[in-house]
Amino acid sequence: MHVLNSPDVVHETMDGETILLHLKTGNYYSFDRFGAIVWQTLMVKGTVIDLEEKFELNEEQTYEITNFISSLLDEELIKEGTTTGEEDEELLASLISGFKRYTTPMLRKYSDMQELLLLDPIHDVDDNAGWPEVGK
Amino acid sequence: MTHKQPVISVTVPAYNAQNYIQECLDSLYNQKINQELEIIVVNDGSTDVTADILAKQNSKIKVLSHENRGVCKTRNTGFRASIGSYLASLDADDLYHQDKLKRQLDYLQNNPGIDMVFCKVKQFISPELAASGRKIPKSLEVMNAMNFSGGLYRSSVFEKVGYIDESLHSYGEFIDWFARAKDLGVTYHIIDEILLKRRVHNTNLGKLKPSEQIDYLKVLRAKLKRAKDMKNE
Repeated sequence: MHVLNSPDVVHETMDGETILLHLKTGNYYSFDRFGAIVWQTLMVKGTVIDLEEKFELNEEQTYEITNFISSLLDEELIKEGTTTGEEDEELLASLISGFKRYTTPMLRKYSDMQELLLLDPIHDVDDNAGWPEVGK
Repeated sequence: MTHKQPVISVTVPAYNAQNYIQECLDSLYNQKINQELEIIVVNDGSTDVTADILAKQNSKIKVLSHENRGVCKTRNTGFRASIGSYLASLDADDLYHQDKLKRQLDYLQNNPGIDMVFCKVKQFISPELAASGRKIPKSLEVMNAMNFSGGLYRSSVFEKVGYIDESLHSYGEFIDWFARAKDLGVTYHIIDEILLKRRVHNTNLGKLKPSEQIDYLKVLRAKLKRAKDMKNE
Protein backbone atom coordinates (compact mmCIF):
# COMPACT_ATOMS: atom_id res chain seq x y z
CA MET A 1 0.00 0.00 0.00
CA HIS A 2 1.22 3.48 -0.78
CA VAL A 3 0.34 6.94 0.42
CA LEU A 4 1.32 10.50 -0.37
CA ASN A 5 4.69 11.46 1.07
CA SER A 6 3.09 14.16 3.14
CA PRO A 7 3.92 16.81 4.29
CA ASP A 8 6.89 17.00 1.95
CA VAL A 9 4.77 16.60 -1.17
CA VAL A 10 1.72 18.59 -2.20
CA HIS A 11 -0.44 17.82 -5.19
CA GLU A 12 -3.45 18.88 -7.16
CA THR A 13 -5.32 17.38 -10.09
CA MET A 14 -7.27 19.68 -12.35
CA ASP A 15 -8.66 19.13 -15.84
CA GLY A 16 -7.13 15.67 -15.88
CA GLU A 17 -3.60 16.86 -15.14
CA THR A 18 -1.79 16.26 -11.85
CA ILE A 19 0.89 18.63 -10.59
CA LEU A 20 3.08 17.68 -7.64
CA LEU A 21 5.63 19.69 -5.73
CA HIS A 22 8.27 18.19 -3.48
CA LEU A 23 8.89 20.90 -0.92
CA LYS A 24 12.19 19.45 0.27
CA THR A 25 13.85 19.14 -3.13
CA GLY A 26 12.14 21.96 -5.03
CA ASN A 27 11.38 19.59 -7.89
CA TYR A 28 7.94 19.63 -9.40
CA TYR A 29 6.23 17.03 -11.56
CA SER A 30 3.32 16.59 -13.89
CA PHE A 31 1.45 13.80 -15.58
CA ASP A 32 -1.95 13.46 -17.11
CA ARG A 33 -4.57 11.18 -18.51
CA PHE A 34 -4.02 7.63 -17.30
CA GLY A 35 -1.22 8.79 -15.05
CA ALA A 36 -3.71 11.00 -13.21
CA ILE A 37 -6.04 8.00 -12.81
CA VAL A 38 -3.23 5.87 -11.40
CA TRP A 39 -2.24 8.67 -9.03
CA GLN A 40 -5.70 9.39 -7.72
CA THR A 41 -6.40 5.67 -7.34
CA LEU A 42 -3.29 5.44 -5.16
CA MET A 43 -4.39 8.46 -3.16
CA VAL A 44 -7.87 7.06 -2.53
CA LYS A 45 -7.18 3.32 -2.24
CA GLY A 46 -3.46 3.02 -1.66
CA THR A 47 -3.22 0.40 -4.37
CA VAL A 48 -3.88 0.03 -8.10
CA ILE A 49 -4.76 -3.62 -7.91
CA ASP A 50 -8.23 -3.05 -9.35
CA LEU A 51 -7.12 -1.11 -12.38
CA GLU A 52 -5.99 -4.10 -14.41
CA GLU A 53 -9.43 -5.64 -14.37
CA LYS A 54 -11.39 -2.39 -14.50
CA PHE A 55 -9.64 -1.17 -17.63
CA GLU A 56 -8.80 -4.59 -19.13
CA LEU A 57 -5.12 -3.81 -19.17
CA ASN A 58 -2.71 -6.08 -20.94
CA GLU A 59 0.61 -7.27 -19.59
CA GLU A 60 2.60 -4.48 -21.17
CA GLN A 61 0.30 -1.82 -19.78
CA THR A 62 0.44 -3.35 -16.31
CA TYR A 63 4.21 -3.31 -16.55
CA GLU A 64 4.16 0.38 -17.52
CA ILE A 65 2.01 1.19 -14.52
CA THR A 66 4.39 -0.69 -12.24
CA ASN A 67 7.27 1.34 -13.67
CA PHE A 68 5.33 4.54 -13.15
CA ILE A 69 4.71 3.71 -9.50
CA SER A 70 8.40 2.84 -9.09
CA SER A 71 9.32 6.27 -10.40
CA LEU A 72 6.91 7.88 -7.92
CA LEU A 73 8.68 5.96 -5.15
CA ASP A 74 12.13 6.84 -6.48
CA GLU A 75 11.23 10.52 -6.44
CA GLU A 76 9.81 10.14 -2.92
CA LEU A 77 6.42 11.37 -4.00
CA ILE A 78 4.73 8.40 -2.36
CA LYS A 79 5.78 6.10 0.44
CA GLU A 80 4.56 2.91 1.97
CA GLY A 81 1.65 3.35 4.32
CA THR A 82 -2.08 3.10 4.79
CA THR A 83 -4.39 5.66 3.24
CA THR A 84 -6.31 7.84 5.68
CA GLY A 85 -9.43 7.85 3.52
CA GLU A 86 -9.43 11.62 3.22
CA GLU A 87 -8.63 11.80 -0.46
CA ASP A 88 -11.08 12.88 -3.09
CA GLU A 89 -13.15 9.91 -4.26
CA GLU A 90 -15.33 12.13 -6.41
CA LEU A 91 -12.29 13.30 -8.30
CA LEU A 92 -11.29 9.70 -8.94
CA ALA A 93 -14.77 8.89 -10.17
CA SER A 94 -14.68 11.89 -12.47
CA LEU A 95 -11.31 10.90 -13.90
CA ILE A 96 -12.49 7.35 -14.52
CA SER A 97 -15.70 8.49 -16.16
CA GLY A 98 -13.66 10.71 -18.47
CA PHE A 99 -11.42 7.84 -19.50
CA LYS A 100 -11.24 7.35 -23.25
CA ARG A 101 -8.24 5.16 -23.91
CA TYR A 102 -5.14 3.98 -22.15
CA THR A 103 -2.03 6.15 -22.38
CA THR A 104 1.35 5.27 -20.91
CA PRO A 105 1.69 7.14 -17.60
CA MET A 106 4.75 9.37 -17.81
CA LEU A 107 6.23 11.23 -14.86
CA ARG A 108 7.61 14.55 -16.08
CA LYS A 109 10.11 16.11 -13.68
CA TYR A 110 11.16 19.77 -13.61
CA SER A 111 14.05 21.21 -11.64
CA ASP A 112 14.26 24.70 -13.10
CA MET A 113 12.61 26.41 -10.14
CA GLN A 114 14.46 24.54 -7.42
CA GLU A 115 16.32 27.50 -5.98
CA LEU A 116 13.23 29.63 -5.85
CA LEU A 117 11.04 26.93 -4.38
CA LEU A 118 13.56 26.00 -1.71
CA LEU A 119 14.04 29.61 -0.70
CA ASP A 120 10.42 30.67 -0.77
CA PRO A 121 8.56 28.99 2.08
CA ILE A 122 11.06 29.66 4.88
CA HIS A 123 9.68 32.96 6.02
CA ASP A 124 7.10 34.76 8.08
CA VAL A 125 4.48 32.20 8.91
CA ASP A 126 4.07 33.28 12.52
CA ASP A 127 0.37 33.55 13.26
CA ASN A 128 0.89 36.58 15.47
CA ALA A 129 3.10 38.74 13.35
CA GLY A 130 4.07 39.26 9.77
CA TRP A 131 2.83 37.52 6.69
CA PRO A 132 1.42 35.42 5.18
CA GLU A 133 -1.79 36.50 6.85
CA VAL A 134 -3.93 37.91 4.06
CA GLY A 135 -6.17 40.88 4.71
CA LYS A 136 -8.67 40.00 7.40
CA MET B 1 15.83 73.37 -2.38
CA THR B 2 15.68 70.96 -5.24
CA HIS B 3 15.50 67.24 -4.68
CA LYS B 4 17.50 64.98 -6.89
CA GLN B 5 15.63 62.33 -8.81
CA PRO B 6 16.29 59.02 -7.04
CA VAL B 7 18.18 56.46 -9.02
CA ILE B 8 16.97 53.51 -6.96
CA SER B 9 13.58 53.08 -5.29
CA VAL B 10 13.40 50.46 -2.55
CA THR B 11 10.00 49.17 -1.45
CA VAL B 12 9.65 47.82 2.07
CA PRO B 13 6.29 46.11 2.59
CA ALA B 14 5.47 46.07 6.31
CA TYR B 15 2.82 44.31 8.32
CA ASN B 16 3.20 44.10 12.09
CA ALA B 17 6.92 44.55 11.66
CA GLN B 18 7.70 46.29 14.95
CA ASN B 19 10.31 43.76 15.99
CA TYR B 20 12.60 44.11 13.04
CA ILE B 21 11.78 47.06 10.85
CA GLN B 22 14.21 49.50 12.45
CA GLU B 23 17.10 47.13 11.77
CA CYS B 24 15.83 46.72 8.24
CA LEU B 25 15.67 50.47 7.67
CA ASP B 26 19.09 51.00 9.24
CA SER B 27 20.54 48.59 6.70
CA LEU B 28 19.08 50.81 3.99
CA TYR B 29 20.37 54.02 5.58
CA ASN B 30 23.82 52.42 5.72
CA GLN B 31 24.00 51.67 2.03
CA LYS B 32 27.36 52.77 0.67
CA ILE B 33 26.05 54.29 -2.48
CA ASN B 34 26.47 57.79 -3.82
CA GLN B 35 23.21 57.79 -5.68
CA GLU B 36 19.88 59.13 -4.52
CA LEU B 37 17.85 56.45 -2.83
CA GLU B 38 14.09 56.50 -2.45
CA ILE B 39 12.84 54.32 0.40
CA ILE B 40 9.12 53.62 0.30
CA VAL B 41 7.64 51.77 3.26
CA VAL B 42 4.14 50.50 2.69
CA ASN B 43 2.30 49.86 5.93
CA ASP B 44 -0.22 47.13 5.26
CA GLY B 45 -2.64 47.98 8.04
CA SER B 46 -0.31 47.01 10.88
CA THR B 47 -1.96 46.65 14.26
CA ASP B 48 1.26 46.87 16.28
CA VAL B 49 3.48 49.94 16.64
CA THR B 50 4.96 49.75 13.15
CA ALA B 51 3.31 53.08 12.25
CA ASP B 52 4.88 54.78 15.29
CA ILE B 53 8.30 53.48 14.35
CA LEU B 54 7.85 54.73 10.80
CA ALA B 55 6.77 58.15 12.03
CA LYS B 56 10.09 58.48 13.85
CA GLN B 57 12.11 58.09 10.69
CA ASN B 58 11.69 61.79 9.84
CA SER B 59 12.03 62.46 6.18
CA LYS B 60 14.30 59.57 5.39
CA ILE B 61 11.48 57.46 4.06
CA LYS B 62 8.20 57.85 2.26
CA VAL B 63 5.37 56.07 4.06
CA LEU B 64 2.31 54.78 2.28
CA SER B 65 -0.47 53.14 4.25
CA HIS B 66 -3.55 51.13 3.46
CA GLU B 67 -5.81 48.63 5.13
CA ASN B 68 -4.52 45.10 5.32
CA ARG B 69 -4.38 43.64 1.83
CA GLY B 70 -1.56 41.10 1.95
CA VAL B 71 2.03 41.26 0.82
CA CYS B 72 1.43 40.95 -2.92
CA LYS B 73 -0.74 44.05 -3.12
CA THR B 74 1.44 45.88 -0.63
CA ARG B 75 4.63 45.29 -2.53
CA ASN B 76 2.88 46.35 -5.71
CA THR B 77 1.79 49.58 -4.04
CA GLY B 78 5.43 50.39 -3.43
CA PHE B 79 6.57 49.33 -6.89
CA ARG B 80 3.87 51.40 -8.55
CA ALA B 81 4.81 54.46 -6.47
CA SER B 82 8.52 54.08 -7.27
CA ILE B 83 10.10 56.81 -9.37
CA GLY B 84 13.66 55.47 -9.57
CA SER B 85 15.18 54.09 -12.72
CA TYR B 86 15.93 50.94 -10.78
CA LEU B 87 13.63 49.16 -8.38
CA ALA B 88 14.41 47.03 -5.36
CA SER B 89 12.54 45.62 -2.41
CA LEU B 90 13.46 44.52 1.07
CA ASP B 91 11.25 42.55 3.39
CA ALA B 92 10.79 44.27 6.72
CA ASP B 93 12.59 41.57 8.66
CA ASP B 94 15.58 41.19 6.38
CA LEU B 95 18.80 43.17 5.99
CA TYR B 96 20.86 44.44 3.11
CA HIS B 97 24.62 44.23 3.22
CA GLN B 98 25.97 47.79 3.06
CA ASP B 99 27.31 47.22 -0.47
CA LYS B 100 24.23 45.50 -1.84
CA LEU B 101 22.77 48.31 -3.91
CA LYS B 102 26.12 49.69 -5.06
CA ARG B 103 27.34 46.31 -6.27
CA GLN B 104 24.13 45.60 -8.08
CA LEU B 105 23.81 49.06 -9.59
CA ASP B 106 27.40 48.96 -10.80
CA TYR B 107 26.70 45.62 -12.41
CA LEU B 108 23.60 46.77 -14.27
CA GLN B 109 25.23 50.03 -15.38
CA ASN B 110 28.20 48.09 -16.76
CA ASN B 111 26.09 45.38 -18.36
CA PRO B 112 23.33 47.04 -20.36
CA GLY B 113 22.15 43.72 -21.78
CA ILE B 114 21.14 42.41 -18.35
CA ASP B 115 17.73 43.37 -17.05
CA MET B 116 17.98 42.42 -13.41
CA VAL B 117 20.62 41.24 -11.00
CA PHE B 118 20.50 39.11 -7.85
CA CYS B 119 23.02 38.09 -5.24
CA LYS B 120 23.53 35.46 -2.59
CA VAL B 121 21.60 35.42 0.67
CA LYS B 122 22.67 34.18 4.04
CA GLN B 123 19.81 32.96 6.18
CA PHE B 124 20.14 33.45 9.90
CA ILE B 125 18.14 32.43 12.92
CA SER B 126 16.64 35.45 14.60
CA PRO B 127 18.09 35.87 18.11
CA GLU B 128 14.81 35.25 19.90
CA LEU B 129 14.72 31.77 18.35
CA ALA B 130 18.24 30.92 19.44
CA ALA B 131 16.99 29.12 22.52
CA SER B 132 14.80 26.87 20.39
CA GLY B 133 17.92 25.16 19.09
CA ARG B 134 16.67 25.54 15.53
CA LYS B 135 19.36 25.45 12.96
CA ILE B 136 19.29 26.19 9.30
CA PRO B 137 20.31 23.16 7.25
CA LYS B 138 23.82 23.69 5.93
CA SER B 139 22.65 23.35 2.34
CA LEU B 140 20.18 26.21 2.83
CA GLU B 141 22.36 28.58 4.85
CA VAL B 142 23.73 30.40 1.82
CA MET B 143 21.63 30.36 -1.33
CA ASN B 144 21.08 32.36 -4.44
CA ALA B 145 18.79 35.19 -3.37
CA MET B 146 16.06 34.42 -5.86
CA ASN B 147 13.34 36.50 -4.28
CA PHE B 148 12.23 40.13 -4.48
CA SER B 149 14.62 41.21 -1.72
CA GLY B 150 17.60 39.77 -3.55
CA GLY B 151 17.17 41.67 -6.77
CA LEU B 152 17.76 45.02 -8.37
CA TYR B 153 15.55 45.54 -11.40
CA ARG B 154 15.55 48.05 -14.23
CA SER B 155 12.17 49.78 -14.06
CA SER B 156 11.57 48.69 -17.66
CA VAL B 157 11.31 45.09 -16.46
CA PHE B 158 8.07 45.84 -14.67
CA GLU B 159 6.70 47.55 -17.76
CA LYS B 160 7.42 44.38 -19.70
CA VAL B 161 6.41 41.75 -17.15
CA GLY B 162 3.81 43.60 -15.14
CA TYR B 163 3.56 43.57 -11.39
CA ILE B 164 2.97 40.81 -8.87
CA ASP B 165 -0.11 38.64 -9.32
CA GLU B 166 -2.34 39.88 -6.52
CA SER B 167 -4.50 36.78 -6.57
CA LEU B 168 -1.66 34.93 -4.84
CA HIS B 169 -1.63 35.05 -1.07
CA SER B 170 2.12 35.42 -0.65
CA TYR B 171 3.61 32.04 -1.35
CA GLY B 172 4.81 31.78 -4.87
CA GLU B 173 4.55 35.52 -5.61
CA PHE B 174 8.15 35.80 -6.72
CA ILE B 175 8.20 32.40 -8.35
CA ASP B 176 5.25 33.34 -10.53
CA TRP B 177 6.67 36.77 -11.40
CA PHE B 178 10.12 35.39 -12.15
CA ALA B 179 8.72 32.57 -14.27
CA ARG B 180 6.74 35.11 -16.32
CA ALA B 181 9.83 37.29 -16.64
CA LYS B 182 11.91 34.40 -17.91
CA ASP B 183 9.21 33.38 -20.38
CA LEU B 184 9.33 36.93 -21.77
CA GLY B 185 13.08 36.75 -22.25
CA VAL B 186 14.09 38.99 -19.33
CA THR B 187 17.78 38.42 -18.59
CA TYR B 188 19.41 38.24 -15.20
CA HIS B 189 22.67 37.64 -13.44
CA ILE B 190 23.51 36.46 -9.93
CA ILE B 191 26.43 38.19 -8.21
CA ASP B 192 28.36 35.57 -6.30
CA GLU B 193 28.47 37.53 -3.04
CA ILE B 194 26.34 37.48 0.08
CA LEU B 195 24.60 40.85 -0.06
CA LEU B 196 21.35 39.97 1.70
CA LYS B 197 20.65 38.53 5.12
CA ARG B 198 17.37 36.76 5.53
CA ARG B 199 15.91 36.34 8.97
CA VAL B 200 14.34 33.08 9.96
CA HIS B 201 12.06 33.75 12.88
CA ASN B 202 9.35 31.17 12.78
CA THR B 203 9.02 27.82 14.49
CA ASN B 204 6.69 26.26 11.97
CA LEU B 205 8.97 26.32 9.00
CA GLY B 206 7.84 24.61 5.90
CA LYS B 207 4.37 23.66 7.12
CA LEU B 208 2.17 25.09 4.46
CA LYS B 209 -1.53 25.50 4.99
CA PRO B 210 -3.74 24.09 2.22
CA SER B 211 -4.43 27.58 0.81
CA GLU B 212 -0.71 28.17 0.56
CA GLN B 213 -0.17 24.82 -1.13
CA ILE B 214 -2.74 25.79 -3.71
CA ASP B 215 -0.83 29.00 -4.46
CA TYR B 216 2.33 27.10 -5.28
CA LEU B 217 0.55 24.57 -7.42
CA LYS B 218 -1.38 27.31 -9.20
CA VAL B 219 1.85 29.08 -10.08
CA LEU B 220 3.49 25.92 -11.36
CA ARG B 221 0.43 24.91 -13.34
CA ALA B 222 0.35 28.33 -15.03
CA LYS B 223 4.05 28.07 -15.83
CA LEU B 224 3.65 24.67 -17.44
CA LYS B 225 0.66 25.90 -19.43
CA ARG B 226 2.62 28.86 -20.76
CA ALA B 227 5.42 26.53 -21.81
CA LYS B 228 2.93 24.28 -23.56
CA ASP B 229 1.26 27.23 -25.30
CA MET B 230 4.59 28.61 -26.46
CA LYS B 231 5.58 25.22 -27.82
CA ASN B 232 2.33 25.00 -29.77
CA GLU B 233 2.78 28.43 -31.36
